[in-house]
Amino acid sequence: MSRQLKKSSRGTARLSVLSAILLLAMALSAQQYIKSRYWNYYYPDVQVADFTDIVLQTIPTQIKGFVAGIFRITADEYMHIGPTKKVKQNFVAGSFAGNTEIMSLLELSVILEPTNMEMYAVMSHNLALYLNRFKDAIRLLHRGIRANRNSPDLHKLYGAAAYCYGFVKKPSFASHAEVEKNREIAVNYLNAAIQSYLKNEHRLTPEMQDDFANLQNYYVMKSRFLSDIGKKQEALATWQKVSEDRKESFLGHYFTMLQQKETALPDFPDDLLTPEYTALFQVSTIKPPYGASAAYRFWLIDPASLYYLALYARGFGAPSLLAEDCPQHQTAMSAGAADKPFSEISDCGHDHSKQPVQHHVTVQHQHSHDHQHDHGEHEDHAHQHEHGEECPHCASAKSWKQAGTSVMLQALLMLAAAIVIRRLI
Amino acid sequence: MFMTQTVLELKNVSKSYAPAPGSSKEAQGRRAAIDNVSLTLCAGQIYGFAGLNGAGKTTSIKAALGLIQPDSGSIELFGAPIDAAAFNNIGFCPEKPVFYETLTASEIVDFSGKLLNVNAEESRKKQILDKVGLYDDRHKRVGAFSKGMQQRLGIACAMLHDPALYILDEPASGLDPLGRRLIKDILKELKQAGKTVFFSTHIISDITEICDKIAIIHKGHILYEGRVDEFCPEHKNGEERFVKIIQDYDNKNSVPAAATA
Amino acid sequence: MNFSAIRSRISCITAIAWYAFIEALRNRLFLGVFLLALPFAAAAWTVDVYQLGFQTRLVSDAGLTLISTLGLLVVLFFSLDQIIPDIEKRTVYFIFTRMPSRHTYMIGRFFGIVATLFCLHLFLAGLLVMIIKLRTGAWFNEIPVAGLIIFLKQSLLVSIVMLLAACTSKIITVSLSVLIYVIGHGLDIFRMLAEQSGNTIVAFLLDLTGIILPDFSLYETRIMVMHEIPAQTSALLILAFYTFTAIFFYLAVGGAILKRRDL
Repeated sequence: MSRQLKKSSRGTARLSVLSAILLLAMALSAQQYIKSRYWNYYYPDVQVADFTDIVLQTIPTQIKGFVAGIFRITADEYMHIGPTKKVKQNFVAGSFAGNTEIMSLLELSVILEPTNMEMYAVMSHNLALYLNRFKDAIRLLHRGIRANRNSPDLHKLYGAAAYCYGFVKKPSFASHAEVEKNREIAVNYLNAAIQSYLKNEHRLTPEMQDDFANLQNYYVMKSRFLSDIGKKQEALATWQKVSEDRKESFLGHYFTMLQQKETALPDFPDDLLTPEYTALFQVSTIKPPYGASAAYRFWLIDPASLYYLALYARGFGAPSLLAEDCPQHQTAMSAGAADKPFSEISDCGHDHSKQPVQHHVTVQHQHSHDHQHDHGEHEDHAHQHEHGEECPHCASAKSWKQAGTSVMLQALLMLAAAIVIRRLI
Repeated sequence: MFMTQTVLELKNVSKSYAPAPGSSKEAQGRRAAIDNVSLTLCAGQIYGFAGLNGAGKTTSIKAALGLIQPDSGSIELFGAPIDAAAFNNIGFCPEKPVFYETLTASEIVDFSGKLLNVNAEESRKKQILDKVGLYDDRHKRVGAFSKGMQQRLGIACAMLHDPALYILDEPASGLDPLGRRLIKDILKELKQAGKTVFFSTHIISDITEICDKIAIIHKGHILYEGRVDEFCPEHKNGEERFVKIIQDYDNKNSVPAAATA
Repeated sequence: MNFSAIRSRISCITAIAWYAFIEALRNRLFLGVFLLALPFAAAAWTVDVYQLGFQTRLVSDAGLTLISTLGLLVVLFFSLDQIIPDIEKRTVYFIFTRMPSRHTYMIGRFFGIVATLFCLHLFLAGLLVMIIKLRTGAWFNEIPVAGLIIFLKQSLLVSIVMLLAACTSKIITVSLSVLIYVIGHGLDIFRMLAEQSGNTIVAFLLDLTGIILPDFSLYETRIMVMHEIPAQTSALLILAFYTFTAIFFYLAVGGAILKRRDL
């Protein structure tokens, strides 16, 4: 009797679950049917290009944003790592410029989150200026403009389009006519950007401020492009709208020369900048987002190979910074320490015995972590790093020992426990 | 001398189960599935284990095979507690055997042999599959087998290593008349071959037709154990005797219960 | 235990593993998992809307993620299909009346799934390496090593699923396995917290958690693959040793539970 009851209750439960799924499917189908049929009434601004758009609408925004964020972080990671060592790729670590690896990821991110203006800008600059895909870049920006017609940030897309048109042809490499034609279009986009900015100024919050896509920059670019296409007086008029603090620049210098009608005035302001371009390359001083202990993540890797990782963790590939922290890194690597097995290298992975007296000890640097290097007889040669930070190289050597010991201990404990269980139970 | 050798012995075996959480019987506490069950099976005997559905037949068999841990009592197989070696001398077929559906009948027999460390030669496989009428279907997946075919395959697996003791849990349940006839014939063959067979059923005529010894279990208690010719001389009125034993027990136990109420 | 007993036990384990492997291969779900790989693999080409050519890092990264995901599906679905249905459908009667050691059964079933997993990883990692070799002309040795590490990690997960399947229902097994998998990946963070907390009791408790739970954070392959830095052999050996002991431990506990369970 009870078995029958149990059977029937199980049957009822199964039936109710199936009914619930069926109802849910029906509700979703109906929702999609209605949406697709009356789309234009509900969403007049959004164009439904294909079925993908309808499918994307069913996914909650938060989930789409989360996944898009993962793609963006991955793209950022790829950008920092740079090209693969085994295959020739034409981009450098720490720059989006010409980086082909990131494009598919950013494309997916834009599909999932079409409101992220920064991604359009990064992608379009990359496509237009480095990957020889100018039309694709503009098409992408138009897609963004269509999807964000009512956004207060819309000016950023116009600004990005102006940037692409403005700099796709450089005076040094293209004909004057080509440059002029493009910069004329760029000026149109800048007008649209300025108009959109002013129209939505009241809706802009401090978080929306951008170092590049702002009104002042638009005026600066517009005056420059106007000057480039020969509309010098209009350019000067626009330049007057630029705030005083922004005027102290090469372009300001150019316009001062223009006002003073100097004979040495070049055709394009670019020409004034040429000697400075080389100095623009800077090393990031951003610290890695994790501390030394997180180097557990690196425990599988030979500390001798971590030279490259140290560069990565520093954010931008800075051997000089690394050498500043610990001169032995440089020495060890150049001495071929990477070829040595782990056992032949001292605790932090490099050979200190070769140049023990060259340790650079600074008085104000505090060794805050409890990790003490014992470098033979030279106790006062304790490893020092700025602000008590451990370099990833040494942290990994330490973590390798910690993690290795801990793993072995855990493994032995489990083995012992398993043998006891097998014997006694 | 050989006939008196004890093959399987259950001494005062008890097993109780806690009712499922939330069930109406939860308040009554643990329920005894078998209570002080004692059985003795000698070599060469065909032993019929009779009882109604839920009487404790399968629980007793599971206890005998070590599939469940009894609460009390002792079990001996071939004069010793259950161990790995004993299983090489036992052929067991559960009630409604279930096999891996994606394997073929031939693979199941091979698998059975490998578990027992017996090399199932092709001739032996043919012999046993022929005997249960499955040789032509040996390359079919078990998932496509009917209930009766799976039952017959279970018997074939039990016979593969030619064990001394067969333990069959309701071998004829769910079979059509032809299938039942086949099982009876196999049991008779085993008897002729001097094998020891212990099988459970609720069909008394099967026991009176084939068995040497019968035990009746009801509500976890052994109510009768004896020779079949003593239980029903000339194999007549077996079913009436069985029903009477059970009714007598129920009547006897319902009186104190009613008095308590 | 004498030599013949060991041999017979090994033969039982081999038989159970072999038929579990065959069963998994014939399962439609397995075919489905393989077929699932196709749209994912095709995604690498379909998202290349700007026709920028073959993206080595993206393909290797996405490929390893795919291997890991499909492996996880195989672990969850096939490991669940091993012990619980055997007990529910009483197929175990067929086995336990021929081979009484439930530990052996569990180990056999474990190896069956591990063999399936190995085939999947071998096929997918081999395919990935070959695709990259054909498109770029370079061998990416980190990928097979990463495949091996993922395989070790998922083998450990199989043993956890087996342990849970021996004592709970399907739904609880799936939930707890996924939970342990997720927590296990964050154990290095727990360790870091234990180091940094300064509170001895908290540190001890967190370390204890790290000892009892499987530490999946040790199987980090991403940095190795992304930076094309080879893993050191000694670390791989320790990792393999850790994996085997942890598997042994979880299967021993699972076997002990199964042994005490009434079927």
